[in-house]
Amino acid sequence: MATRRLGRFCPLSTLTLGVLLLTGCVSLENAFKPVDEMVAERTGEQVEWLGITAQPDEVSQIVTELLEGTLAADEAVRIALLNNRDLQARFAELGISRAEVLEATLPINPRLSATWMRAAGGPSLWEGELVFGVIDMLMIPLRRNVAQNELEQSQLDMTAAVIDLIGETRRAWYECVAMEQFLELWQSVLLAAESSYEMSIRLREAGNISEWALVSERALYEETKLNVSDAETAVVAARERLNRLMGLWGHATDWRTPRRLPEIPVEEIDLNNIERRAVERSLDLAMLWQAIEAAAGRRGITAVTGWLPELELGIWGEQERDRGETSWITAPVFSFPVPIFDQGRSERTIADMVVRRWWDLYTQRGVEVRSSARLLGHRLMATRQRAIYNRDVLVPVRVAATQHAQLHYNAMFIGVFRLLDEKRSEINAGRRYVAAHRDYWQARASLEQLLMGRMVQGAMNAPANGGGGAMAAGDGGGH
Amino acid sequence: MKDERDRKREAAMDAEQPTRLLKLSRRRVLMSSAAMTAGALLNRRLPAQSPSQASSVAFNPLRQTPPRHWAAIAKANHPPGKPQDDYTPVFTPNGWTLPFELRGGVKVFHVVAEPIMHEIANAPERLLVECHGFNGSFPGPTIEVVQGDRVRIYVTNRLSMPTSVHWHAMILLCGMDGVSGLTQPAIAPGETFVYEFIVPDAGTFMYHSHFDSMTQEGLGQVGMFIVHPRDPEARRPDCDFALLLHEWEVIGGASRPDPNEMSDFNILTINGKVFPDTHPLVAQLGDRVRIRIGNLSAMDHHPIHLHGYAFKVTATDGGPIPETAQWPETTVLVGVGQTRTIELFADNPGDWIMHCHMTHHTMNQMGHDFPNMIGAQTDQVDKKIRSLLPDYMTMGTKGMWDMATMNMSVPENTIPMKGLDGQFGRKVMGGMATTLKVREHTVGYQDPGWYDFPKGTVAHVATAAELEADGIAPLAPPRRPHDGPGLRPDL
Repeated sequence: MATRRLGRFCPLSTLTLGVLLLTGCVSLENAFKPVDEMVAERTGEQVEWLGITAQPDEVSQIVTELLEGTLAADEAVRIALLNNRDLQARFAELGISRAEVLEATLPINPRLSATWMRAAGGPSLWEGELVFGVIDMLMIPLRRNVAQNELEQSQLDMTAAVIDLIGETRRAWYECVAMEQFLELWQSVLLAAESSYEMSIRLREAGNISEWALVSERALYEETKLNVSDAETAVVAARERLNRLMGLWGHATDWRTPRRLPEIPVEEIDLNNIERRAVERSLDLAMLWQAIEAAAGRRGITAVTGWLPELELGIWGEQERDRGETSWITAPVFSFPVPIFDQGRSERTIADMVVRRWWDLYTQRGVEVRSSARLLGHRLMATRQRAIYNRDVLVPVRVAATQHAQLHYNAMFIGVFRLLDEKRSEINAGRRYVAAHRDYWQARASLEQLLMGRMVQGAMNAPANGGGGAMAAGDGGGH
Repeated sequence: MKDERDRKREAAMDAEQPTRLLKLSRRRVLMSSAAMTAGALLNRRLPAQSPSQASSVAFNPLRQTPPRHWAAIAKANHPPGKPQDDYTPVFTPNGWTLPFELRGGVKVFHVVAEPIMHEIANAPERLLVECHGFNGSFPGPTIEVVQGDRVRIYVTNRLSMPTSVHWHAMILLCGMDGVSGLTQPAIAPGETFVYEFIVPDAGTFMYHSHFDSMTQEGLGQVGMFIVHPRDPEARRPDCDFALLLHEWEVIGGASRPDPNEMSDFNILTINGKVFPDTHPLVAQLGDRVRIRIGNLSAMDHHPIHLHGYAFKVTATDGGPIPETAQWPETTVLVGVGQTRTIELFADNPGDWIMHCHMTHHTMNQMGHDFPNMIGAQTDQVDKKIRSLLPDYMTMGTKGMWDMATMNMSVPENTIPMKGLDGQFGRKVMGGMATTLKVREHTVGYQDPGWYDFPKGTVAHVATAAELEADGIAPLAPPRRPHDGPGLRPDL
């Protein structure tokens, strides 16, 4: 871990001290702690809750330091974890859940009702009633369990959000580097097209070629310019996606990535028992399990409240005036709805169905996690092979073809245009390699994300070779 | 008188032929062939299966009535002609003459058609091609005999495909003509055929495959067949050269000529070599020089131009040209499938180039797919391209000369543009060219080296004194009287 642990700080703790003492409930910091631990255990990363576990200026200092020099993938992830405000907003939801736990542990306040009566010319008299909801008081432990369950669920949810952010940021970083490489390669293609066009201008000036030949060369050149423009837009889009994920604006967006994607590692992710491992680690499934438990808890509550939604106990008092003396008559009161019509059956049915629904969702999600594990495992190996094949076979063969073309040019067997065409083909092979290389890293990031516990949204539908929009544009643009 | 005799003979042959054919029953053929010793080899090869084939089995070329004009020479029963005694042997530059053995007064040759590696050019750039040849060489060795010689030529096929050999322009009995399918079966791979005939006419002939000619002639199954006259009185030349022209398409970087090519030939050879690998024609001052040129190119006629001399075409492959019909020339057009014999009196010493005057035929493999770069100003573009291709430089803006002098690295086994490093610098020329070197003293046909020019006889840079004396201002050349668009305004 490159970052240091940030100082703990809890400004709310004093304010809530009384309540905490009363309820024995956790502080915000403690509510956050399981998230922190789960994230560390699953991802090796560390998260901070701005204003709770770390000061904003400390964080911005660290972000600034991380942005210096070239921005590595790990650094982008760290910045996103510190600085992404969506994530921080999720942490605030954690505070809300925690407050709901507190709320769940408090009894409903007693209800006091009073009537002031005065007959014409007579004295004024009071009548009043103070009642407590008894059922509610009895429900407090049950309700607290449910709320606690929901808190845990939101802690899982938060951990999931962190893992999602890590995966998203990594994929965005690879996309960004790849798009920069694409742009560089497209600029080389443009240089080749420009050279061809300029050579044609010179030949036209010398009277050696027709205006037609010149215009054809120009068309190729102008088309290539558009491709470069597309590639530039793709770079901006990729950078902005990463900027959003890292929560950056203004001068902070002037970062730069390395010029090349990292080499393909020799050691590959172990794909043995990949399905079982994915299921075991799945936060999606853990969250659904929590939902099942919470729903079951709620069904327990419903079992009582459905039949007897409320039972109030209290004391009733009335003033009486007798011969100038005012005195209080008091009597105990109780009230409850008589379950003649609604005996709470529909509520129980709803609660049953909710449990059942969660159970079905849980099962289906398990199927999806397993499928996702198989698919991503396959995609990892396929993209790895493709990238290595591009690197070790296609690109060297294209480089050799250019070298041979150069020799044939030297021998004046072919002209400069054919030679530049060959160079363009070599550059296109380079683009194919970059695309394959990026696909590999993105597949790897997606599989890592799955093994950290989260499925990648849309991973099922993505084409195996990644979305190569900038790749496809202008392919086969020889002449 | 002569005409009448010919007519009679033809009439006799016409009358005889149907009878001969009718008499040949299948049984008789077998019997007669069994009795024949001379045709034993043919017999084994040719079981009589049909009347037409049977007739060829019974055919004994030496017993047939010789056709037309060469009856006398066939009947004269001349002894085999002897080199030096009966003829001055030809010299085949870069080639060789096929030796024979005398067997019972018959000159026996053995010709082997086979796949070979042939070196078209040597250092500094080398071109080695996979082609066909005879007896290990391309072109095949020169076969050299004397009119009236009896020859027996065995032809072995060591190729992977059938073949045959046609004795080009020699007027023989039909069954010896070597046209597979028409006059004989094709010689299958591994088989040996025998051809036997009395050589009727003197002249410059050729031999080549007549089976799938496009492939096999194109790949190099060609050679010269020289027949000296049986005439002790005939005037012999002092030097006699045999040159065979050919053309190939060898894709730059490839090593097998493409026989399918129809028009874009890039290797033009004299006796299998491109200039300057062609061995010079060496003659002594005062020699009577005979140069025999045959052309078995696939698609191109070659106007062969000789510097320094006017010569006369003294013969074609159809026979000698009467002296009264010869006229002076400096260029002889040798069409595909023709031979031309030229003669000159070597009275002008020096190094004289002799070349096909089709300029593309004195180039090699370069330039065929090269854009016209002449006159383009490309310095700025060069810089740009070098950022993509560090080894790049624009070529061809001043012609092919760049290439011939740069010594840039080129693909293996290619001769883009060979030049001759002569005593005055580089001569940008390749392909179908050679030199005639005439000297006061020579040693056989040995290359005497560069000509030692007498002092003051070589063109030189004009001196200031010379310019001034003749009022020449090189920077302001005289314009033509009508002021048209003569000079480019930007130059």
